[in-house]
Amino acid sequence: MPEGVIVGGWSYVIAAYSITAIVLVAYAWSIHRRGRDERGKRGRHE
Amino acid sequence: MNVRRSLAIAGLLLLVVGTYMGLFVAPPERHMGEVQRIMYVHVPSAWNAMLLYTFAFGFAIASLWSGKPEWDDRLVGAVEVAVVLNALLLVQGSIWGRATWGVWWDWDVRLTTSLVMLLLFAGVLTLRRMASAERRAQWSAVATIVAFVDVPLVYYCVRWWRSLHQIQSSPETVDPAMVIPLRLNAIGILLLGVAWLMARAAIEKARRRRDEAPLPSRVIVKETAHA
Amino acid sequence: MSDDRRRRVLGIVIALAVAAAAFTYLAMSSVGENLVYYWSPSELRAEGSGAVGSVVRLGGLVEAGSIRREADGLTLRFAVTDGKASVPVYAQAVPPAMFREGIGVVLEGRMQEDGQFSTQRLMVKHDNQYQAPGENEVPKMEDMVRSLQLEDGD
Repeated sequence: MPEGVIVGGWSYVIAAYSITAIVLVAYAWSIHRRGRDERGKRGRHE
Repeated sequence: MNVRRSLAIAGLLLLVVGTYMGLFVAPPERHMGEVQRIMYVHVPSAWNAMLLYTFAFGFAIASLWSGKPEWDDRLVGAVEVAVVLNALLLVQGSIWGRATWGVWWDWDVRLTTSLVMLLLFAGVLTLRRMASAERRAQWSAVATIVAFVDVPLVYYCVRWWRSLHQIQSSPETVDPAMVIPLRLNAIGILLLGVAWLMARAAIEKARRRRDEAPLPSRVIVKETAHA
Repeated sequence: MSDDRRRRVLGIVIALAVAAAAFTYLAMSSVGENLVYYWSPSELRAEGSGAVGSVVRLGGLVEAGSIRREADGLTLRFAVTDGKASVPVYAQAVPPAMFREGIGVVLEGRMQEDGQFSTQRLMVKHDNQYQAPGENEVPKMEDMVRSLQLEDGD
């Protein structure tokens, strides 16, 4: 095993990418939901 | 709507291709091994958070200068998307730091200024909720301009002061095979971020219109709701 | 110019002035010089006995051929250098996987009476080089010293 090299380490990569994907999807969903709600309210006004 | 959707789709495609290349095509780093792949999400998050904060700074000046409420709509869009990316970059960096530096966190100047940046702009969003409708745009713009002081500090601190975090990489210090997924993801998140900015601005505009709606229409809404 | 517009433009001017003043203060004032994240081996040596006792960070490169792992598996001895001076280190910490000869480290700990630096928090500081495994594996000493940024902030 070479010295000073990280062996393996995929668990860190999976953790970082998973958190990124979850947060981005959650934010996209939140934008979508808020937009839908707002369009619904405006519909009732007009 | 069409522009927004095209931006989002193009951004998503770039992100998918960039992530695939980053995870499966790019080589591991000679010392960091596979862990270096976190770079392909961490660095684009950081770039785009700072870019969107810079947009917000521009919108703040335009908002104060013109007094047009559309600039405030865009401001909240830019700040909100940037805050999400700012939070992400801290978490991604912490995971990368645990693997390479050996610690989740340390109070070095880059980490500290990045955390301060998140707190300052989260503060801008909180301030908006507390401000009255008439004062909201003005307060948000002034708070954004003041909070923006930290953004160039985040960028330059690693050049000016000693830190645990390394200084910026450049195409000369990064293997060419790593540069491509890095750029794809950076542009992907940028396009996606701009699409979200526009969508969030549209929501803010709709809310504002609703709040500004003349009183009679509200009364009618109430009556029809009862009927 | 209407009152409303005058107030808004005044808002820009005040906000920009506050922002510029804060930035200039942080960038130019002694805040920067006092913000020493770590000491170099030369600086710590120059302090002499004055550095003994208080918790400080020491930053430098792991000196070639200096790493000794003791039988208990937890104690590590090595020296940290900046190319001019070197400080012997007594570490009770599991080093990160990237720990090796010649790499940058930041250590939080205390200078002892006997001139050894004792630490339980050992951090690896890597530079901004990201390369595929292959040739030219050995980085130049002067490049590694430069990555310590010892001249900045002056």
